[in-house]
Amino acid sequence: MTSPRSTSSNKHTSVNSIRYPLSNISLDSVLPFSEDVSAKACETRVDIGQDPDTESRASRKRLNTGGFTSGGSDSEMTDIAIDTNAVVDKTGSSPPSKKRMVDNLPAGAPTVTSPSASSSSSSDSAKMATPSNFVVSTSSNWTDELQQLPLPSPSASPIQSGNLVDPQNFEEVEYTYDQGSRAIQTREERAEIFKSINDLISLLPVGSSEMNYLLWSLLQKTDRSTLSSLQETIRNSLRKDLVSLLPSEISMKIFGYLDYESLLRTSEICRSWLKLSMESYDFWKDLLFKDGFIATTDEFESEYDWAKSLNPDMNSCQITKWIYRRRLAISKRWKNPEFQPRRITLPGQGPDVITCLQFDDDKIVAGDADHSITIYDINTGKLRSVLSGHTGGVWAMKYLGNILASGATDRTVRIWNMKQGKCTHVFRGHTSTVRCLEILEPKQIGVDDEGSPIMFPKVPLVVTGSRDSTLYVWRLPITGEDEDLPDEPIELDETSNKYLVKVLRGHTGSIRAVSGSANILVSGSYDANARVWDLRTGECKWLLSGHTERIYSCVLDVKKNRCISGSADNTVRIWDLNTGETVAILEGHQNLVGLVTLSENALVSAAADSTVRIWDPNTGDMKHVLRGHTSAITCIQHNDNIIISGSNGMLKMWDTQTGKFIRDLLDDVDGNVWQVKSDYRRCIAAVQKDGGTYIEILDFGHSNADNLRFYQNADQIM
Amino acid sequence: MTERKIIIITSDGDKFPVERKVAEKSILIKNMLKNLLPAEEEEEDDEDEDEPIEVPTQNVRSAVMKNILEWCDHYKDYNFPDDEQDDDSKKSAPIDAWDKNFLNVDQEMLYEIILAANYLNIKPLLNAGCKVVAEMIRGKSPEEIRKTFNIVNDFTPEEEAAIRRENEWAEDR
Repeated sequence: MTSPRSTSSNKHTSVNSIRYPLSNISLDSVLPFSEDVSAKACETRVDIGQDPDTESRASRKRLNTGGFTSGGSDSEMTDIAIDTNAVVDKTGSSPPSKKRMVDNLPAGAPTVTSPSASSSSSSDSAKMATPSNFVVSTSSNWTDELQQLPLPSPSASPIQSGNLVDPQNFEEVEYTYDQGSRAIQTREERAEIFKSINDLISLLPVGSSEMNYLLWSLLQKTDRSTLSSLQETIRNSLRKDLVSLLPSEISMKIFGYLDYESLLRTSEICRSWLKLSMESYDFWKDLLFKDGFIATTDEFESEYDWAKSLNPDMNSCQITKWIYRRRLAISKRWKNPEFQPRRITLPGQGPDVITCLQFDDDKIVAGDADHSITIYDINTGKLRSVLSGHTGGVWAMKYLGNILASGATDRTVRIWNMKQGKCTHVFRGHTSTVRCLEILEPKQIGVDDEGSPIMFPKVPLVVTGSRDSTLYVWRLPITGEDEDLPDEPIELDETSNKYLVKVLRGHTGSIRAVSGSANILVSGSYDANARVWDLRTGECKWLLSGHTERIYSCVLDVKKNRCISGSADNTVRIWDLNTGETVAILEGHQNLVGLVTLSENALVSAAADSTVRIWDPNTGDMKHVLRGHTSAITCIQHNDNIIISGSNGMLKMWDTQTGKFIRDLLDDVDGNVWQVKSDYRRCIAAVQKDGGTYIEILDFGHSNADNLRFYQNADQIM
Repeated sequence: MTERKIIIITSDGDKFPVERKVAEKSILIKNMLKNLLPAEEEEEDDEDEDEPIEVPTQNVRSAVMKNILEWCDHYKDYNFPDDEQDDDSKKSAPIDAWDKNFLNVDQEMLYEIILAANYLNIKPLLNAGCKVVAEMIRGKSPEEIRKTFNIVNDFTPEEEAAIRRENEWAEDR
């Protein structure tokens, strides 16, 4: 029901005149009310009243105060409001509040009944409902005048002519408007009336039942379009500084849901927000993890200590913000093709294939097919030590802290103390080349009856997979950095080795890949099967059978309890480790899939068909095919932001989200790219050029770039 | 064995009879009931079995409680995963569509719902409420944020400029 009278100016003034009491109800924001406004409102209404259209719609209406009869106390008023909501909620599970409000008011306000139904019977109850001081006021002259104002009612009944008002009788609140009665009123009279209303309103306590009663009465006589404007006004006047008013732990929770740009914005709003935004270092710490800049608590802590040492005056919040800022800047450099990372090229130890590569902030460790493992200082590029001892090519290698485990074609597994550059143990048992290995760190796998965490493994384990089709599980012998070590390593054969935990048998072909976490281990074999082992018992939990050719790569998805395998049958398979079933077969590659890697939101495969493919790790749907390489992909590294892939003569970088090519990282390689590894700031690649083997360090975190202007002390940092 | 009735009494004295599983969306009430009804078996011998349990909630008024209970009722058959687990992924998860619609109320009501969810210890509702407020902040200019929350800028122009400068790095591309 829309009213033709509600021109925009009318709407505006009506709202203004009603604002005063409403803003009293709200906790803050008192809108000024002036005589001007009331006079203007009055004037407008007079004009409206003279509109012939209004006259034709003039209606007789009876106010039934029955809804308020049972007391008129505050709680009664509240009850009415609740009932109102209840009525609306029955109509839909959760209607938008705008609708709620418009619909509510007519329903919640006292209803209009026909005069014949209860004209006399309701008179007593109306008296009861009306507070005494209110009754006194209503008996004065202005009441009569007020009730003749042409405030339309949304629920006005049809025109009934001939029913005249008895102005002395408040209980019989029955009025008929007609053209004549208003036409005789002067401007002054109307201004008087409004003044009286204002006086009354100013007398009534905020939130009192009298005030609420008056308000309901007014609302009942308000047309829908005014209600609609009113609703907007109410909504606006209910706006409040939720963040400052809520308990700070809740406000911090709110800030915790913001992205970094919005979080920064919060410091620009006002003082109390600024204070809150500086309250906790958790905002920035959480963002570092959420945005994938830092993956582990250890990494965060070492970064934090380092940043603290550079900025001793900063508080914890400023430090984590500073770390975020630095990580963000570096991640933007990766994606900027114009940016030139600092490059250091290290000559390798010969022309041999680099078979394995690992690095951290301190060092680069590379194993080669010529029996040795070389350690370089990552910052200076200087050769630190060469670990010699294997009598065959090293094909598998990993380190944890200072301890390195390696496997070679000489069938042995060797354990090294890197700091001292010494081999501490030689494990014998495999009868053929050790081709892959995994180190498992202790992790919590559950809680016992008393609620204490159950850790597995108890001590770090190394699992080695061999061409002899077996997997050996060993405890990793750990020696101190400064421990006095014998010159010669301890040589242990299978029968006398206290470090040997289990031998896992079952595969019938060479084991090519192994991946694990805590007690779960997945192995991929040339027998075309993958197997899932529980290291607590050594039993094979699942035989994952489906590939038709050799498996070259496998990766465990701990979070989803799945694993992914890549095979020479050109497919990638996702397996469910709860059921041992195939979740999805990922088809598309035209040749052997040699590499699969996984990040939080992307599964990436690389194949001999010279393509890299990005898949949805949940569904297995193919998202992007990365084309640009011209030969088999030899190495790959990725996170949720970027993918780096190497092939003969090429090292390319791509955007993980869009699949778009970003840049070539190296343009002068003329041979193979054997290995590539990266962290947040560096890309390390083992390449072949000019007939020799080199280690390339590309550092996106160094300081002498002009777009890192805010790093005042960056030079000493990087 | 019939379940004992639970009646939640609001700060303004209204009574809401509810199913136990609805009431137990509030961990506060759940723990309260746990103490009142220690063991299920004993219940049968209980003389007062038919007498409803009244749960007074001092800090929640009726109109807010009505909304809270609507939310609890909607989720009564849903078991929320342990909140502590996997917090990172949860934080980035968008707000549930039903919750979003449910919380599309005026700011006064939103404020009271958040406070009530906090008081009654209904974590998923508290989280949803916080997410809704975060949505009101996200991607807005300072002026838009101030308007949204009726905030007066109490910085001097110099202070404001200094803070802006401090935050400039976010715009570096």
